[in-house]
Amino acid sequence: MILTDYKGANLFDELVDSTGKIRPYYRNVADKLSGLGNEELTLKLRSLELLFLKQGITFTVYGDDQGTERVFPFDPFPRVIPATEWEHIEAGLVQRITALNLFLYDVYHEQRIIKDGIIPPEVVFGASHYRPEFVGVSVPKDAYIHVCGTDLIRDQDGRYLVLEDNGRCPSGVSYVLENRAAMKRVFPQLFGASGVRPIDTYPADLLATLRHVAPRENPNPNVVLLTPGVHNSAYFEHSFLARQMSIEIVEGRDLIALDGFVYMRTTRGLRQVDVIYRRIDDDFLDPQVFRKDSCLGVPGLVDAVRRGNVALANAIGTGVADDKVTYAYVPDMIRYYLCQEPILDQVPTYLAWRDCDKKYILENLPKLVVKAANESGGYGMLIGPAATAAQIEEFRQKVTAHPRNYIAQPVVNFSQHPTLIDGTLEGRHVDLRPFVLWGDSVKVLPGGLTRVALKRGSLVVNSSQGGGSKDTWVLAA
Amino acid sequence: MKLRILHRTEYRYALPVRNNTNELRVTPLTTHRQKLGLHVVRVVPAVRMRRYPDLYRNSVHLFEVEEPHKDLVIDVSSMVETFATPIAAIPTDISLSRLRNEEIIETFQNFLQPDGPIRITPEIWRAAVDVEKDRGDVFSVILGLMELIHTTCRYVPGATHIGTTTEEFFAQPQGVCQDYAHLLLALCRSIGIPARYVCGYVYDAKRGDVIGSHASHAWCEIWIPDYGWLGVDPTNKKVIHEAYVASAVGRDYRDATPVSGSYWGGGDREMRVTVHVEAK
Repeated sequence: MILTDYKGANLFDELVDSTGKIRPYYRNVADKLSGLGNEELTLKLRSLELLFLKQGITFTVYGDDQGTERVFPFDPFPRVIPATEWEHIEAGLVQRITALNLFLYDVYHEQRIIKDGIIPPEVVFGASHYRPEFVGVSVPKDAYIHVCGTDLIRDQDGRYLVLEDNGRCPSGVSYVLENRAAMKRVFPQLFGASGVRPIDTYPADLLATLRHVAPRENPNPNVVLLTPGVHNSAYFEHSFLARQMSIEIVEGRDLIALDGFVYMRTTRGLRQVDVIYRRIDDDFLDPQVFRKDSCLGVPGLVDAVRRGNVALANAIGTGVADDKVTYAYVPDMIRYYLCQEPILDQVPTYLAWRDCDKKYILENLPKLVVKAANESGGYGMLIGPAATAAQIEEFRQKVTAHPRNYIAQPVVNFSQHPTLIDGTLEGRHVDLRPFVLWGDSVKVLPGGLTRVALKRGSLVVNSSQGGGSKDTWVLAA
Repeated sequence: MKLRILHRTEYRYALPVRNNTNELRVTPLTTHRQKLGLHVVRVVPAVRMRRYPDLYRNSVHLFEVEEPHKDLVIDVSSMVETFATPIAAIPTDISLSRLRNEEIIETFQNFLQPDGPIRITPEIWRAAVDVEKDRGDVFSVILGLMELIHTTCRYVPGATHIGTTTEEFFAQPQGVCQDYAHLLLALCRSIGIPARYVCGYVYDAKRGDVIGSHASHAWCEIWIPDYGWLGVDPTNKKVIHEAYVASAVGRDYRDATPVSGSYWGGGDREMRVTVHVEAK
């Protein structure tokens, strides 16, 4: 691999500094990669591809007619994060999930943050994922978000910024684990003496987190993973995690709620379920309470949760915390609940429902990124500088019609990382999604999903929009 | 030295309790010899945390769990960078007479008085005077007093309780770091040396080398003119160094208690404290 031709750009480059010199913590991996001959590299790339295909590491694209499942594109140049940077990220994430969980407890109980005037009531009550049905319901250990995937980007100065929190059913961790496994198999020599922190305890840590909220005093609680089924875009991940934790993977029709308890249908009769790691949105969980037309859920499940006989991870109603309007208030939440200043910065956010912000947004649409407040996966957003006049006009009408549903942020020209494109290294934008577990203790997986926007100049890294991924190395020292 | 401290306190109540109000003094201080980095306090059940600095500039966290509960977990994690304070910089020519000074006596009033667990008995005063009389300067008197404590006292967990006074401990010298620290305070104060109580953590690189590293530790700070507060650990007979992290100071244990509070409810209560200090 030829590294000498690689140039940084007019933005933060992960590999080289502003003078074009390779950053010291990349030296080890860069030396080893550039020692590989072209032929060897081609061979290795081919075996990587084969490995991913054989393992069935795929995802599903919605709204695409040509076969819905695709192999997740993978780039072999790992992203390296030095220990001191990671320490900062880790502390910031722990602080953030702590505040978010306190916020969720509060908005489903006394709602003091609203009464104290820190967050306007319409932000909470107007969020489409706020569940008034859950006010006053207690959840085990007051834990709402057990698994959080927070998206981070780096701005021009290399500062890490929180882009969004994913506190509902964050996915991607299976790619983190599989990427590492593939890298180890195909590039074992890269790891020697590199001091990369291992990530293979994640499934065990996740299981411990889930067991921690088991409502019964039972040394061996029955934990299951509830999936919407094989057509879900993250089904690969669901089956992967269930297998890694050696727990049952179930669909709604495998469960039954009787008299306030949830049971799993097995060949030996019914077996009580204690904790459900659900990978289904709130809306589809229980047709008796939420969407009546849902065939994915379990009628009576919510009643069992309310009675405290079964725990859900993540809890119902966490969507109010990762709402894009609520996001703008997270720094205030940290100050309010923890009496601390936020450790991680975030992207300035304009809220369309504030009149002055709306005016600014409508006047500056071509310069801004506009996002729907409750969409994820890169759907329903406008990137001003890259949009056509018609797209801008479309969003102008949408924002005017439903201001609560839209936010806008300045375009952050986030960092790039060398990526192998047709045999040469080119800079491509990357983000980072670390995973945080909130159990008996708070654990941050030392690594995360680095997503790459494979299209030149593109700022959208979502796999559904043509993104790939990289192995992420957090160094021990 | 970069240290990561995990301090966990768990309470389990036999019967539900409510209005459980707690004050935490678990935040490492920021001084010339240590700098606090990342610091997170997590409490289950969910509570809103408040903070204020107390009279001694300790950073206090305050919270209340109002609803009935049977478990309370307080998890504190801190990253601290400590700096070496060379022993050579401690002056060895400051005579005790420098402390007989109106201004010093007035400034350190709180740290010169016997109060609460610090009882200055004639025996304690006598022992301090015996150490003082052959030594010329404050630092060597402190070393002498630590030597005295080291030869007379034995570290025996469970022999004392949190309210044990120096009078009781000096009569029956078996106890833990808190008793050692209180005794050194009493000895120093009895001969007019300002001395205060410190609560904190110690990193034990060799595991088993430092007494007190498995939980919160206690030691003392002694005022030396022209120098300032000097940290000394009577339990381990040492001038404190990079492995020590102070989280609170005060007149005695009562001002620097890591977790203190009150609640409504009866029944038994179990407490478990675990402290891990790791070098990064």
